[in-house]
Amino acid sequence: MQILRCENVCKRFGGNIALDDLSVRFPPSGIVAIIGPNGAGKTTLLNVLTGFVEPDSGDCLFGESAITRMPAHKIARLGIVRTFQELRIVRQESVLENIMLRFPRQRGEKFFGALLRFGVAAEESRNKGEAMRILSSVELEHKANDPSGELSYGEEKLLSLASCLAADARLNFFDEPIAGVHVAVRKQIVKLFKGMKNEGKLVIFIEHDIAFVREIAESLIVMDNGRIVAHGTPSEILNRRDILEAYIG
Amino acid sequence: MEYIALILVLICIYCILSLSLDLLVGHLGLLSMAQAGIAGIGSYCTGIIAIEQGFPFLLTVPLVAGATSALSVLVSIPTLRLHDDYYAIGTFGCQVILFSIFNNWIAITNGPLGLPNIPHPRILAWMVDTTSEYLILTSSILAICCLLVHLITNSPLGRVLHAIREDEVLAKSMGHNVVSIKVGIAALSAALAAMAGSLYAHFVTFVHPSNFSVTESILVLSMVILGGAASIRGPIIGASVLIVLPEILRSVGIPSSIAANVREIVYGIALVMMMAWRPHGLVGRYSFR
Repeated sequence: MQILRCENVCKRFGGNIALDDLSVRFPPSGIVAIIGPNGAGKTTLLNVLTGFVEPDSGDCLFGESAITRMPAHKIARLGIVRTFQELRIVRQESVLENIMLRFPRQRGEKFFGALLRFGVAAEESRNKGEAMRILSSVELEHKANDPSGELSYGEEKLLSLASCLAADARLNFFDEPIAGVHVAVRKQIVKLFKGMKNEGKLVIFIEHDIAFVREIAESLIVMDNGRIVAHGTPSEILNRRDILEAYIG
Repeated sequence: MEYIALILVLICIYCILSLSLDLLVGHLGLLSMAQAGIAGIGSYCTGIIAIEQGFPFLLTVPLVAGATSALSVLVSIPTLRLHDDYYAIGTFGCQVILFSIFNNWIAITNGPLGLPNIPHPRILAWMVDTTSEYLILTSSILAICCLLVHLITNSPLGRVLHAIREDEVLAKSMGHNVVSIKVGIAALSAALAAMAGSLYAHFVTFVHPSNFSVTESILVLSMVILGGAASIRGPIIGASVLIVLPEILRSVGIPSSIAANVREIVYGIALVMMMAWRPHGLVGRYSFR
């Protein structure tokens, strides 16, 4: 049973082939890592799967829904969330508001919901409680009302990852989640990912840190030149001499 | 007393106009340069409907607001694909086109001669004739607009607007239909601007293309930036300061021949100083840096 499938996906940027007839299937839950050298097509694959890049050909399916050329916001509504390689948070809003933004299908986000306010106050207070619980799970609750632009880099990263918990999505993509973070934040991120897995969600992340991949991933995909060159368990792949020499060094 | 009431009416009208612009500039981060042009559509439509059809005020205003926001949706389709500075340039183009229409479509707008003899409004049995009566009308409509803007911007929807303002890509990844939200808010903003235009036409009883030029759009933008974007108080304070300032300059005895130039210089200096030292305006929450 696969929750997410890609069949023969191709994507070119000018003369560069970013995805070359790529086919891959992902299980409904667990933690999957994608590794590979720069320019291997990892982020392009993620962008295609989340609607930020339209593939030239091929098909992508999430459950029963064809998401190949669906706009990004519709894909997100199906229950797919993502973070970006470059850190994206709403810096002029508070830490709490950044989490509150993520709750799906809020009444108060509709035009007439905002005007008429039926049930909006109750929804807000429920979401606020849940947001505080999420913040305390990553030890950021004491900064809830601070502008998020004043957080340190590691805290900003943690906030962007933790905000995905509010979306309560079945599928969570993270692009280089631990790049540039302190070891304490890294521990938090490990805890966060394991928590998502225990709730039966699927976590897919791109990472260059092999130790982190070894520690947490249940399944590993190695990409190069827009193709998948190896797919299996980390222990099996990371012991292959050819893979180690060619892609990890 | 009559003079003070007149200034207060103008302040109310400009407050509505700058509040409408703040929805785009402050809350969505879209630096629109066409707000005077949009208010102009409201003014001309009001003038034409009131003179030729003699519709009552309570029918004219919703009609004009609805028509203007429908038109703004058409204009939004090409301009909302633009970002940042390009959006400002695109709306600047719209402003120039609208001014040319007001000035040259003589059959409808009477061109540079303007549209005279627009009647004062009549609300059921109330004929709004005097300036103080008009002040009651405009301040009530301003209060309704403030409430509307407050409800929209201090809600989960307001939070989404601010997310779009700061990072559209992030907002899309959260499942928000950025284009339709922008079009909806642009339509609401146009409806409010048209209402301000409509009130202006009824009050002054005469509309002229020069009331809706690029300079006017810049004046309204200055009101938002000076007072402080993304707040209710900001545009109100900005509009009040920039309407009262020329009156003060006049009262200190600067000859009228140079008063206009001095006014422009003061506006310019004030804006540069704000940008340098208070980028979030006098009372605003968001900085333009």
